[in-house]
Amino acid sequence: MSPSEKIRPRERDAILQSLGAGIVPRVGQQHIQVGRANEVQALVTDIDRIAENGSAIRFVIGEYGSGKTFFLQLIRSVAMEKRLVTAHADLTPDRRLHATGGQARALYAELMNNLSTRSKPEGGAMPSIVERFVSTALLDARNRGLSAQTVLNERLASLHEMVGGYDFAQVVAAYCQGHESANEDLQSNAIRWLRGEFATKTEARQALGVRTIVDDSNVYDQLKLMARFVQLADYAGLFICLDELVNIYKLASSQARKSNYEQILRILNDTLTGGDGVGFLMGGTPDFLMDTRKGLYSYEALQSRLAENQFARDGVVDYSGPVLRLANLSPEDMFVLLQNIRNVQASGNSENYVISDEGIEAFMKHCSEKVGEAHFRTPRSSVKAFVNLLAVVEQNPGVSWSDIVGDVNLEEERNPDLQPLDSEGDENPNSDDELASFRI
Amino acid sequence: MTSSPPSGSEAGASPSSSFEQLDEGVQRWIYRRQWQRLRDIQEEAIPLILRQERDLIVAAATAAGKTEAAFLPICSNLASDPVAEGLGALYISPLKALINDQAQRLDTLCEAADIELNSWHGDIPAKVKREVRKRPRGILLITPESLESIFVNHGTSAATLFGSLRYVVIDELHSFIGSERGRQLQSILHRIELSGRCSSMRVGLSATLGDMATAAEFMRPGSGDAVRLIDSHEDPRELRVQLRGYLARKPEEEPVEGDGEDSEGLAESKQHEIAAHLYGHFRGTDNLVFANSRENVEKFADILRHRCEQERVPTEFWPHHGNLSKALREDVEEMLREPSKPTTAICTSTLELGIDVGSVKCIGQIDPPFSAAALRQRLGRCGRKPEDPSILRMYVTESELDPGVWPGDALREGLVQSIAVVEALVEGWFEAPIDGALHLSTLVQQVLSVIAQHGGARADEIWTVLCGSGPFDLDRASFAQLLRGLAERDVIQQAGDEDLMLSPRGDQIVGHYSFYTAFRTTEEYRLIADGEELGSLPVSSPLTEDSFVIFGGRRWRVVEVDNDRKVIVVVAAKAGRVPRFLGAGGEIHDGIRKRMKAIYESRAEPTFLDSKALTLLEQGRRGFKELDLSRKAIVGFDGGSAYFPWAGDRVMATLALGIGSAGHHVYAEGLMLVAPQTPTEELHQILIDVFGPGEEPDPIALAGGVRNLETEKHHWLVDPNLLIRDCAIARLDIEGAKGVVTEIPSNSTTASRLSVPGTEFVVIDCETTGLHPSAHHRIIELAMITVNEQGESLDRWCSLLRPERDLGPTEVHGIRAREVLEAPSFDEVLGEVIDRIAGRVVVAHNARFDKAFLEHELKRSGVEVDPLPTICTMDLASRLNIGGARRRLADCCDALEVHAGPAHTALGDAEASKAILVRYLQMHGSSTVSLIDGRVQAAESWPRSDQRATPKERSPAFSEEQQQEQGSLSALIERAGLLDGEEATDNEAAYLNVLERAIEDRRLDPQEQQEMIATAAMLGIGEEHMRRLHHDYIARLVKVAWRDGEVTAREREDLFLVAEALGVADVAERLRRKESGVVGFDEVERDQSLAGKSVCFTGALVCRHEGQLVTRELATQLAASAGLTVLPRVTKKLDLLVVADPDSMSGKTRKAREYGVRVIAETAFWEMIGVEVS
Repeated sequence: MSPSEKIRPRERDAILQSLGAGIVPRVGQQHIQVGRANEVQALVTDIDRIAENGSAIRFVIGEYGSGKTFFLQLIRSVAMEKRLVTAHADLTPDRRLHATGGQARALYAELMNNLSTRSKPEGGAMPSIVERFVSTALLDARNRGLSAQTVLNERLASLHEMVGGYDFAQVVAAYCQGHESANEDLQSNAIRWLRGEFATKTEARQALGVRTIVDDSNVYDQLKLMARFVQLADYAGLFICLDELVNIYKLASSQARKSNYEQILRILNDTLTGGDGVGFLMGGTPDFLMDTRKGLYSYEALQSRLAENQFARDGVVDYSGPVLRLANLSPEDMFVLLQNIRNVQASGNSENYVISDEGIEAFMKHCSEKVGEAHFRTPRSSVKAFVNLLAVVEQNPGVSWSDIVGDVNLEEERNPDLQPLDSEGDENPNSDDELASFRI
Repeated sequence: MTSSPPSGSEAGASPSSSFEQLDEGVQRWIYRRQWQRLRDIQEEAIPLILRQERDLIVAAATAAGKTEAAFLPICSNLASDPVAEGLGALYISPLKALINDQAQRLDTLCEAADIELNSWHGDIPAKVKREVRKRPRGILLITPESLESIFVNHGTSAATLFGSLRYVVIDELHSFIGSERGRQLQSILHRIELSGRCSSMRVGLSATLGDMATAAEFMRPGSGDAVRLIDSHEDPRELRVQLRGYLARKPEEEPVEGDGEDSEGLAESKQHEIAAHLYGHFRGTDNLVFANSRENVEKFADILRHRCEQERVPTEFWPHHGNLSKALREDVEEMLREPSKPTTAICTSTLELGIDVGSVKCIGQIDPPFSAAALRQRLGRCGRKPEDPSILRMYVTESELDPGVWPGDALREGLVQSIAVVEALVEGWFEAPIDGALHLSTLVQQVLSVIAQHGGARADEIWTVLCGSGPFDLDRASFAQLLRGLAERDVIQQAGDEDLMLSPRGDQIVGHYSFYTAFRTTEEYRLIADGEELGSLPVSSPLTEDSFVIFGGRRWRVVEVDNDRKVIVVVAAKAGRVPRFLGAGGEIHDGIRKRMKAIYESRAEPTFLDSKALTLLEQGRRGFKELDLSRKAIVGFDGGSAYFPWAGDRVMATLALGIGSAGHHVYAEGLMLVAPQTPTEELHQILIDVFGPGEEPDPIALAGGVRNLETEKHHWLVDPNLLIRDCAIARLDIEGAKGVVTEIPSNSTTASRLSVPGTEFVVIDCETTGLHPSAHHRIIELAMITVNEQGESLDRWCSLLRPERDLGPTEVHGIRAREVLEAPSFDEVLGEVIDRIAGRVVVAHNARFDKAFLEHELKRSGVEVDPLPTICTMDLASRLNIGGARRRLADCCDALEVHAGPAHTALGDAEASKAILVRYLQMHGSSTVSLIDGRVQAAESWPRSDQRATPKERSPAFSEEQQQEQGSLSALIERAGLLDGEEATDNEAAYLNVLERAIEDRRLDPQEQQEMIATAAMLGIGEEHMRRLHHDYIARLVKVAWRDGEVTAREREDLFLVAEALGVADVAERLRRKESGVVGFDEVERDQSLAGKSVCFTGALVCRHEGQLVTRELATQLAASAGLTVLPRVTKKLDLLVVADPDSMSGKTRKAREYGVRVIAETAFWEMIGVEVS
């Protein structure tokens, strides 16, 4: 984090590309992270507990653009450093914790697809995890002079006691069998099963001889199995990041919302009472948490469990509860953030800075004139603009930041599916009327 | 094309180029059909659709092969260039049944082209739908509502479903245009393109289109010009029409109490005649018979079912309307489809849209149709094969003519409307839908649907989707207003990122399956009168308070419209003649009304009329001529005026609102607008003031008068200010109204019924000995004021007259015997009277009363006169809208701020009447006055008389004294008169006026009762009606008495006596108990009113007390124990004379009358003192 630290080119490009596209980088977050040391510390403690076969759950609550996603990714990278397997996914109307139309399985599939380890920080780690499970087992067998099958059975036995564990173990066993007999079909089928990609039981039975598949009804049980499994594969635990929980809040059916909140309650109860080496980190907006008609608080049991420490207000904080509030970035934080980005862009070499501190101040002034206080509330678009500004200055040696800082335009985020097909014509001649900033 | 065998790979002699372009599989399918050739529309459509260039509308008659015209090329395209993922084509139909039908029809074609075909609507199993969603391919047949449900429930699948969509086929395109559902469809089409991020070709299939440009614009809003049209060149189907006329006996003058059953009974005989014709011509085949109302549907179905049962043949006639259960309706539809079961459905417009009932042989239409488009639609169900003719049988009933008939009846409006619609149909003219409506209800639905689809969206994004680039026409500020309205009604809420989302209540609305339909199936208001429900009525035209609705054969005035509860509170309006009602439902278009006028003005005899209908048409044209409607637009009618704008219902509604905004009562009655209290010239002036050249009536202000703003499904969620705007645009037609007003000829208003220039008036007032001249009552004081046309008084004459009999109710008129002793008799002033009456119009307040006395006196004096031409100032007061519902003279004077002199003196009252007349003349001129009867005869034709005795005036001091004597009852009556809210008819008001005279002295002796009955008879008020008036009157008095919180002893006595006199004692008692909560009130009453009074019995008593006849002794005993003094003789001091028969002319009775002693019946007496008798 210090400016002098060297930054690898791969990290640098990944960070700049992500930020330039308005999304959170999946690696190298530590290079740009500012502030929130206490929050990070609280989560590091959580991760340590998970690594010791404990469990944790946190709801990261902050306004839109306050940096929840960034924070989640940062913590995820910490978890990976601590030898946890991580899985992350955004909730969407089509990816939910509970559903009847395949949306829960879709969430599971997304999580499994994003399964990451320290060596595979950007997802797709499922095959290597299974492989590692097999190889450690084989190593163990060799060391102990036992047959591979015996050791495997011994290890898988601990899965049997869990809900759905028998079939899970069967699938892993099938993988091992494929491993031994070099049957790649069998291996890939097993991986597909574990990823939740089988749509029908018939298909699964033909491919793997198991009678169940991952479906809407058993997603959480499968996650718990997966947590146990990664431990068997010699990882410290499983850390699951669920972002955009606001999408549950926005579901139009009250029944659907309720079922999803029930799942959250189940997770909350499990993690608060026991330890399985699994942790959950969930990102949502204040609405999602506090709205007593549609939010988490609409579910009585959750409201009482999540009620925040009443003394923790007006600067007094409590980082022990399940709800973790992310404060908005201060202008100072923002300044440091932009400095950090400048540093990343210069690969950590201060001689390569293309913009001075005054330049950053001018940029911030320009932004706050353009969009006012929202500039700090939702830094995403200004960060994006800043990265683009740096790119222009870097690639055009003749251009100085002072020439173009006034042209910076902060784009509003829009749902592309709602825009007209032929958008050449300006359909919004007076887009700064009350409708553009409509408040009920 | 070719008839080559399937094996032949070479086409016939003249291969169709279109055919050549088709995919091989599709070509093979055509071979197998053994088609002789492709139809013209198919030839033309195939290359256009294959190329997917521009949108296309194919318009052709039913069974012209439109479906194939669209799907041959579509299947070809999809077969030769398969779509990788997503649907290739959507077919949207308004009806599930049509989808099922088309699925069968397209099945083999799609199979031949190897294209997947799926249906999706409410009755399709969820499994099929899931499969389609998961693997969308080929062609999907679907309803707009199911598309809506896809957006709401599977919003995220939309991108895949519609991502490669090439074609959207819209069947029955015409049925969508202009309706809520049409706007929903447009919005959905747009959202399909946005969700799929691709534009597809739209193909509209339509049978009837009034205006192709409108249809094109509908298909692709904003770029209608680019839509290509294919109109069928093939010969239209032959049309056979017969219109049969029926004449119903005229309904009763007076509506029967309650529900008007009797007039229904009269109409029923006609229904049997029509039913007999239906039975004869419709049995044995499949047919549809349309009736305009559900009641009629039920009635005809019932009559015909009985008929079938009587004849012992299977029932073939079944009702079909929206209120029947789905199962029943589907049974009927199934029977219609089943060829082995001949079935005739009697239906409302439910079967108008192409519900798949197969084809029928013949269409019946009972009562006039409303629109050419609907009739054409109905005819579209006709004929199994292209060569079959379309047969239309229409049945129109008109009522018998008699003097004073409603113009609508005289004009044979229903018949002429039917002719106009048929002529429009033959010409190929159809009603164009209304442009510019905001469709706020549908917009609300779409806003909620977009939010549900995306799980939340920003306000300006929603606006862009629906209004900016979509089909709705609402500016951004108004859209914000709409959203605020939704938020206020707790339907949407906002998340922290400014996304709008559904609130829990919005979830419920959107989550219910009924959300997907944009239109409301039944839109009915309940009519409530006096707290009782009369029934329900579909209301399509704008309603205002004080407008009229017609229900159950009676006319009702609207008091209140409660939109939340869908309730209209009404009171019975003026009885009078009940106009014929053409039925609720359709709105009639300008074009139809213009055609109607042309039919009246023409002399052509349409060939499709039967002889009766021709006779009726002839009558209608005569009526048109009599009203001189080719030259006049406004005619005098019913004391007011009737305006014939010859315009559609939207224009008429606009005109009515304009007239209403000027403070005048008006209601639409078919062709005409009736302003019952506005003279013709004034009405014309109002119209010019509001709609004339240079005037810019404010549509918002006009629409502000409309009470039933919430006409569409989601209107209750919309800000009322926006609704008013929508109403102003969609339901009013200001330009049209201005147009028709400009066309009113300036001299078009009718001549009045009092057209002699320079007519003079004589305002009279009589004080009399009794109520009616029939019982030898006489005038004892007569005042006459002559007035010229300008309202200036010419002279005054007033005198007491010697009646040559007793003086009657001295307390009322205050004239004492010694005064009249010296007065001249009527004979002796005959010359003075004739001088003033001859050649003039007699004017009086409640003129029927004075007129009867005056005519009677003249007759006694040997002057034989025709009925005197008379004007009643009570009537004038009602038209001036002064004096409250009852138009009491005193109240009128107050309203006019005239102090005319002491009441109940002839001159004072005459002055007051004169004031009303003068005010009326000032405001409306003499030309609009209607006479009660008679006509002005030249003064020369009157006999001469030299009897001119000096008039005798009454002493003023005495009348003041009399004024002070007025008791509480007078005060009560005075106050009762001020109660308004009830609408008394002229006759009722006249009767009540006489009644008040009669009871002002707190009694009503048998003589007076007789006179009241005579008066009632003269006014055409029946016995039952009279009883009701009495009942209401007493109820009103009681209400007034209780209004100040207590009833004084005097008031109690008065009420009790009057109620008893009017035979409604029990009512008074009941009301008092109810209002006071005091039980046993009558004991108190008795003590106070009768104790200490003196009573005398006369004649043989007839009642039995505890089983034994009441003898004089017993009677004396009972009366004494009730605290009364029993006197043996009738003296002036006696209070009560009790007789068994109050009408007996015993000496005591006569004497009692002379002395003004109250005479009551024995039973009433015992009841009063609480003695049980039988």
